[in-house]
Amino acid sequence: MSILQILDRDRTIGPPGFNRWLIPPAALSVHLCIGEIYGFSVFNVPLTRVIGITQSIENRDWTIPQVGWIYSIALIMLGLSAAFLGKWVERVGPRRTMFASACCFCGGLSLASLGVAWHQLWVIYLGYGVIGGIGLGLGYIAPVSTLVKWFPDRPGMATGLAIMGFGGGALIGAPLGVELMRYFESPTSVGVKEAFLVMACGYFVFMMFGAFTVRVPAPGWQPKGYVPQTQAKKLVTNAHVGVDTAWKTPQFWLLWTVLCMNVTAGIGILGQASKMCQDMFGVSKEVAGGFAGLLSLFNMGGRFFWSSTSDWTGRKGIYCVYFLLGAVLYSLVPFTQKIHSVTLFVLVTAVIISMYGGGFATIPAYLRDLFGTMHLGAVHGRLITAWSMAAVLGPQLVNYVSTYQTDHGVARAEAYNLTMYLMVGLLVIGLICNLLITPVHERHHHQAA
Amino acid sequence: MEIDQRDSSPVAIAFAWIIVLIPLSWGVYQSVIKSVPLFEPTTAPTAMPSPSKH
Repeated sequence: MSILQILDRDRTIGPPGFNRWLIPPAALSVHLCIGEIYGFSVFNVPLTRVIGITQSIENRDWTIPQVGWIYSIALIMLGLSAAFLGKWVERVGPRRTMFASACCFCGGLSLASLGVAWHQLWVIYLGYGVIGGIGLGLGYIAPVSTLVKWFPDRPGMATGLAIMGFGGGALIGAPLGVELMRYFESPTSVGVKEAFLVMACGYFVFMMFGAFTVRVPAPGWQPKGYVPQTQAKKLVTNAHVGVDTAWKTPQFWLLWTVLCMNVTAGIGILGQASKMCQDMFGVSKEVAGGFAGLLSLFNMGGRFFWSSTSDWTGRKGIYCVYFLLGAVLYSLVPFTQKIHSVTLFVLVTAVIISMYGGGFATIPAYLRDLFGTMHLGAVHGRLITAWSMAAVLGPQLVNYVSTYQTDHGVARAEAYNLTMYLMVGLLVIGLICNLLITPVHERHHHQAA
Repeated sequence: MEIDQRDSSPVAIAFAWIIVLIPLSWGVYQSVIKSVPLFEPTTAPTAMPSPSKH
């Protein structure tokens, strides 16, 4: 039997007696690896000292803005690959997709290692950015619809578990990258190329565990004791909507805006966390770094907590909580600065970031409620473009407004206040879009041949 | 195609979870340790002054 046959969707059907609790660790093993992208910033400074080793040499070493493009290209490719390859993912199933994701992500890391060795930035853009980014997109959407099919009784919890791994990837990837660079550091190397290579090998093994553990449920399979609701909830459909139809419905674009607003607000804080903490409270760089790590922890935890909670409250309800509670908390941020309470600031931002993560994790279940499971992975893939848009909007908004404020004489500690109120405005737009979401009209439902 | 009719082994399930929880716990531990100084009184917060504009 060839390797390609082992990857066939038909060969991944869970046999009778297969325990569905094997699926979340399979999904987590992929998401924990690809979530490393969130911790990529630990490589930024070392990448600017590849030639100079102890310090960056002007005109020979790369600059921070040049290196910053690696992360941006990877995120753009994540969105594009998820959007364009979603249908393929649905067709070939999760195992082949996870395998392809591992090949792209780890192959991209290996190529980036070569790029560092040759000191060719375009090779890193191609490796980590383009090829690795495709791996990110494939790996991100691969297990989602499978999980929802295995857990029809708790779809929010199931997708929360998987997408929690993406948030958790930074918690592992960042310290792992630092430790590896420290280990391989020498008078002739900053340790980045070796770190990339070791991570590529380690992540590949880990992702293979996920690819060969994952199974899809047999047609018509249902968990023991599960009784599908005969009286459907208002927003939850038992029908299916094809991806080419789904993305033409107003519900899709309302959800797109909901995700975009939630992510723009959250990523604006997450991306600038360390700098904000230093500017607002004058803490040291090291302490601010600890704050960024703590936010990653809440980003991860929120994905599981809020998404699981949505199984009880309904998706529309939980998004109302994200937007309403979020608006109140964002308005509180300037107050925490006014009373110089770091603890209160940390608490407020931690809850904000937990809801940012929750927004990501709840979206697949919301899509399943509205469009069914037939093309869930593909529809989810197209919705992910909202994330790419937000990844550009959020940090730019915070950067631009705070810089404008300080340039006009506002104290640096207070320069983020206006941004927080702008974020409240974005959340209000998200809330309105969420409230406008209604069930998808029956004419869009897929008719079985 | 042969279909394995056996139930999934509890050991296999526990093993699968341990495989993912070990690195995750390490990551969580690292984050918690690094965030401790944030709550220590020695980090006495002082707001940064505005850059002088002349």
